Amino acid sequence: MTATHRYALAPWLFLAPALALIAIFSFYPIAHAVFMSFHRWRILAPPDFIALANYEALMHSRPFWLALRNTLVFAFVSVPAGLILALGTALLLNRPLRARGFFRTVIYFPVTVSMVVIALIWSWMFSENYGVVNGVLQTLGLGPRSWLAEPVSAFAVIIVMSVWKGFGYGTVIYLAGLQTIPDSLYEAARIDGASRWRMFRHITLPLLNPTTLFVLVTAFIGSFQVFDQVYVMTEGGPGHSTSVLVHLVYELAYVKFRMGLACAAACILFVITLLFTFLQIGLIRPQTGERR
Amino acid sequence: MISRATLAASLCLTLLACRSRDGDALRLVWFGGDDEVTAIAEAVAEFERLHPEIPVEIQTVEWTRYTEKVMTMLLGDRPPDLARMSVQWGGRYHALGGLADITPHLASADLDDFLPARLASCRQGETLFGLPHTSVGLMVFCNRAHFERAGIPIPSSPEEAWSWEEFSAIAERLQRETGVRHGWGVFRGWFPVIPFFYQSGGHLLRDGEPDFACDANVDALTWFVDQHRRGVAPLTSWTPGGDAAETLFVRGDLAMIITGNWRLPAYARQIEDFDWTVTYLPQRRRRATNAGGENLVVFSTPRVREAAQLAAFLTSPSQMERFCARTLFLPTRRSLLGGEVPYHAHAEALAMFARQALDFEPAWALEQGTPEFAALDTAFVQQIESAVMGFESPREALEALNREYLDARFE
Repeated sequence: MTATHRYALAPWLFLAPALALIAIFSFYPIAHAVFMSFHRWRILAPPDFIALANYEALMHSRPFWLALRNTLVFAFVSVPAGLILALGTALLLNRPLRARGFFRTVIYFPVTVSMVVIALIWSWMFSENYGVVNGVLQTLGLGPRSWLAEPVSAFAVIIVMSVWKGFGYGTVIYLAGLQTIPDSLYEAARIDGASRWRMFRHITLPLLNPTTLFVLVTAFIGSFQVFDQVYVMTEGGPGHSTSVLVHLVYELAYVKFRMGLACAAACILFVITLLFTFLQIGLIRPQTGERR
Repeated sequence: MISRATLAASLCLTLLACRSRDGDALRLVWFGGDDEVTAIAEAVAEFERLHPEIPVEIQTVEWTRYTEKVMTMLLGDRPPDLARMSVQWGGRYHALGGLADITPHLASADLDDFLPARLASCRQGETLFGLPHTSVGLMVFCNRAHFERAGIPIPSSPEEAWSWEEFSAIAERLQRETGVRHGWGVFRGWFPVIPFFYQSGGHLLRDGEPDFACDANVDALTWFVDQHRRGVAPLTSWTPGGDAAETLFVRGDLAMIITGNWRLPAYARQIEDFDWTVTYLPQRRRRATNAGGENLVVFSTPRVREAAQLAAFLTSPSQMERFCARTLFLPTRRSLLGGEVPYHAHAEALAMFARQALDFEPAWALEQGTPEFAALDTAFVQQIESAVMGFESPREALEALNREYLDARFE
């Protein structure tokens, strides 16, 4: 082997352990899931090849369409809401403020707490008979509500809780982004008589585009994978009305042991996530000025 | 520098340390609360004293992961020799060829003493794959304070059990006269719903085919849904996001709850503000209940004979009596159901549970023990929820269950 070949081989040798792990624990399970999505497989019995029958079954399944609809609603409501809240909070916390560190800690704190713990606390808060929310409503003379037992309110509570828990992460990322914008740009704009809104619109927002892209893509991917809060707070009920795709995959795989069907649903989720990610990158990248 | 010999010796020692103990001991897989774990450990210790040639290793697995764990063992070709298993699951494991026929190893066992309905849950065709160990049943738990305030007597014998109409009327009267939030409820599960089908003259299967949507069941579910829609029973207790019926009962906001003997220790611990008692299930066309519990099932391993021996020992009258007395389960032997078990608490209530358990027919154990029924657990609850919450009519919900059952059938 020549020295050139040895040099060419060396990086691959160093990467080999990591690549092997990724291949075994990521690529192989993904490939296997795709393979099993063409099978009827109940774990306990050997799998049977059934071609596209699982996908066809999902197309005719009401729980699947409900879960897909809910996943999209969750993503398109919670992500923009979280993004706006995170940006607004970051702008506030970026200004000279008394106890700024304290507020930053408070806003980031929910991110550090386990989703299961928060979901349990919110479940108790919104309990129909014993929750603090209904308690407050009753003191105001308003009737109690079965927050987590009614389709619309249950889903609304899940979305609000998710936004509240997650926006601290976006805030920190935006804060980092804001601190990279040179003050000289604002000073120049001020000298030219630009209003605050114009400075925000024409300096802050465009320069935050890479940050927005990052927050948006990660938030969208995260929102398509929403599971814990749904599982803890409503188990997808009442009547699948708060079920989301990952919860459906879980239920099909580990509750009903329909592994083939679960794999098919997981593959559809994978494709949707991939498409949305490319779409967002395609929409935002030109504005960030990045070139290939 | 470490020599090659040292390295080789270390490797050998490591491999020896990792060596499985399968070859040494009979493996019993178990789940249960602290009392049950202690009680089985004592019983197994006694078995080992009597049979020193059969050492037993008990593997305790958390209930929530139990099915997954045992299934993984079976799929990994390392099934346990003996396992505690809920009655509904035996048929499924048998259909997979995982369980052994223990009939040849039970020559001296007195099978006639077992309750026919419970023994039926250990059979598939001619194969007897286990022995019934413990039973659970259902009763109506009553908040005595509400009943005393309203001046309503509580039945103390099966013959005095309320009809559905009386039950509903009493529940509404309790709501009206005592201000209790709801009259009655059941915990969210298929187990307490099925007795309403049987009481109404219904069944789950006909000639081996699903018949959940038979007229009697539709009729029963329509009444059940109506009770929830009118608020006599708590509507939202049927959704996971609502307050559970158990919580409402413990807090005094539910006058009656239909639940099982496994709740006795918990209620004794949790309820301090009022007295409670149990009474018999309401009846319609006939008296009926549901009976569940645990069997000891023997897997197809090379140690079937020893596993069957251990199962027979653990279900012997003396061992069963001791286990039930300590854990507040119902025995599965007729000779023990006559109130002879020296329970350390709730003896009177458990005697009533034992009496109610006689209203469970062997045919019902068979239809709840099919391989397909074990797979229906969640679907059953979801369909009842769907009907109660008004997403589907009772007939639609039950017809969907028929489809789920067929879909769960092994090819």
